[in-house]
Amino acid sequence: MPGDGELLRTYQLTKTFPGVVAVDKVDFDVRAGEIHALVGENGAGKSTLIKILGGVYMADSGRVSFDGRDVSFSSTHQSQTNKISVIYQELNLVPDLSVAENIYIGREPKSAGLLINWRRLNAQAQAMLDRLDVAIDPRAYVADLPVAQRQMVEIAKALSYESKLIIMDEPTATLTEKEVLKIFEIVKALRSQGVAIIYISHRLEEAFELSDRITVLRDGRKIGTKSTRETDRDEIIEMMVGKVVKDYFAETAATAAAKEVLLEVRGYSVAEHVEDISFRVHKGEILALAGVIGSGVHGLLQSLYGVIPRKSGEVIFEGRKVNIEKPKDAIRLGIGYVTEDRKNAGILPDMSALHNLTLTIIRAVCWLKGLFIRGREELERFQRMKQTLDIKLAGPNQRVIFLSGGNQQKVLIGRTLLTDCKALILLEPTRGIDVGAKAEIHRILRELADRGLAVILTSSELPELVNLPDRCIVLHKGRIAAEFTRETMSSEKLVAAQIGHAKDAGP
Amino acid sequence: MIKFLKLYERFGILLFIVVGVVFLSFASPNFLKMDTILNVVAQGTYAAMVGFGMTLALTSGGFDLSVESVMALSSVFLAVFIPKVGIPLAILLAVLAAAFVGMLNGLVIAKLKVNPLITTLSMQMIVTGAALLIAGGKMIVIKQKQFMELGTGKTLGIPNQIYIMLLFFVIFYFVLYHTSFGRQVSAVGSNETASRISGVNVDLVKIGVYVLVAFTAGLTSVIRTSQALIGMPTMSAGFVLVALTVTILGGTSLAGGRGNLWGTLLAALFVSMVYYGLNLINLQIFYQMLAVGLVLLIALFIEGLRVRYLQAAKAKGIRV
Repeated sequence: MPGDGELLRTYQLTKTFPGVVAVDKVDFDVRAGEIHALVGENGAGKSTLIKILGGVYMADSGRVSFDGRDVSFSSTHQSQTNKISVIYQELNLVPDLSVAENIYIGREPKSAGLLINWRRLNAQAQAMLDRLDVAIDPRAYVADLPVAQRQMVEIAKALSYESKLIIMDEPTATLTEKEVLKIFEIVKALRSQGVAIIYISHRLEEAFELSDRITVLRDGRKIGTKSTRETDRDEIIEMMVGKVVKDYFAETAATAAAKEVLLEVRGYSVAEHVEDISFRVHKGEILALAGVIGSGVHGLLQSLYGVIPRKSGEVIFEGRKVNIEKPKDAIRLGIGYVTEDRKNAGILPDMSALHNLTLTIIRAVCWLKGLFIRGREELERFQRMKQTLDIKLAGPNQRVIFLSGGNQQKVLIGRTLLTDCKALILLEPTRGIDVGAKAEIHRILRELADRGLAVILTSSELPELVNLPDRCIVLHKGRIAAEFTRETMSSEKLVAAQIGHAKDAGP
Repeated sequence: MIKFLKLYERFGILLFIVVGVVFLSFASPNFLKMDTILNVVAQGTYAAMVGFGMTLALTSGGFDLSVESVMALSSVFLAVFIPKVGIPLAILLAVLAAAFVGMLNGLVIAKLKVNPLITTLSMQMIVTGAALLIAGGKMIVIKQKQFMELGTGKTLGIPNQIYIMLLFFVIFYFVLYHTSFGRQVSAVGSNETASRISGVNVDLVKIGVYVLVAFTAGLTSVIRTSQALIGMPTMSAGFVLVALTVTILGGTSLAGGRGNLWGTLLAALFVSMVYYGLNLINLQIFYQMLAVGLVLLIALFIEGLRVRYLQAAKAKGIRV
């Protein structure tokens, strides 16, 4: 039976996907009018949990009680009309419609039951925005609003459903500090109006500033719920990290200290996110650049490969100052790259595994300088790489989208390795692939490093950052916050540095 | 079922052809004669040749609506230049003019990042205007009779244009499936971002595609002009839709990445068969258009079913 002021409770909630238990028997509760922070590393099960509450996924077992009744939602619409609203990171607004239309989409007030009553629509939207005390014109197009204001529109939309529970998934990840403060104000104002908030954030300081209680998830399980006043950062970090299993990782080679410098970055800046970064990468080492969303890690690595332009700074590769403006320049120098966005920037979905893999060298396996493809040589290069990386497929002509995520990732790694690169940049090398394939990719990366390649990677998965690399540089808000070697690294220090609490982290 | 659907993807258009042939051979005793067949093929060459170019454009993820105007421009160039510089040089100039328009298309699409549909639609109007200006708004009769040999001559009893079309088929087949350029065209059409990251010179590939499309349109126009012996500044109205029809009917995806040249060739023959065959049994032209439109709709409907079925099968874990 619900206790005092209890709004939501889950009982033994479980959701599995092939190969993983994403949410594992979670008992979790939210009280009316509280801000409840939900924290945990990537893959801890936070998003799956809120997607169950938001009607995106159905739980395999367990039940949810909300406002005194058992509920089970099979669509987002159902959860909304039951007064639970989820505001996802990738906002669900239609950019080409106005603010008011977005708030009341599908529920526009009508005149004579047919025509949209624009005056009433705008007035109602204005009333919702006034409740948040924000200055947004309900007639403005969402496309013209900055991200922070779009978020406020989402909140106004949630209010228009008279939501009793609003779930916010990392609302501040891409905001400036000033915008963050505005969101905080709004969240606190909602609490005083009696709305309960589940607040998900990577930044622990936010959880401590805002929340009444904090729940920590890890590996799909609830580790515990603490009253914010009665706990501290160290306790929460320890709950988040737990004890990391070390032995499923590839063994590390000798330290990189004595090795030759391959790539040096000096005073490097990228647009607004990366400020004055300098570091060196040695032959034969695996270097990790760590940082949460908004730390600038992705921008830095993309810029080093020429995907996005740099603002200032220089790059020295093999002792020479080089200028990388487009991916082709990087490839020519011997820098390879594997994207984090396998679907949109990686695979060629319409084409075979063979054609996907050999794309980078297609001009090299031709007669007459790129004219006729020598089919046999192409196939040989493919077969060799397939063996090296142990790619599993029905045949070279199998379409790449029919391969598993792990094998697609191997195809992308193989594609860039065919260019005989000396440095290999990987963004999220094991995102969205199963545990077995992860271990295999880690082993492959270690083998490449042993053969003298410089491997530079970033990952949002803690075990991958702690156990795989020889060295790890942590970025926070676009600057280097800490550097660890294998000897000085620990999960606790890494998490602390990533969220801006580098205490005893020295280079 | 899955096996059948895979076969259909490659040879689905053959099904339509077989049905058409059976129907027409019953309807008209004259249909299955050598002359008729040669005529059907000869009439289909224009759609096929321009269709090859269109197949390339669609494979690259683009589109070309300007082929009609390019054909008109080439035609006018021939009529203007044949009396001045002789036939071979005039042909060269006509084809170069076409290729130049293609290059403009490519430059605007690749460098200025204008949507291909809008670019080539604008170019269609611009070039039509230019052709009309050059021709002074009228058709120009070509008096050099020997120019007619090219388009109307026969070798071993088969019209020359069929040889030329087959030659083009072979060339395009090699370009699309056996050159690094063709591979990169498919790659760009399948995923432009991924191609760029893999070092493909996306802009150059796109420019190359539009030059090739316009080049084939220009050459097709040379053959047509030689048959009529008239330079026509507004020739072939609606032809671009025929070229698009045969390309899509042949199984080339509008979304890019997958070009089916065999399909384009067979679809061009099929459309030609429908026109010629229904003519043979004395049906009005209206029925022919109606028939082609219907077939296009049916083909795309089946294609949609096919894709959805395969996706559903994949979701259920059946290996496809």
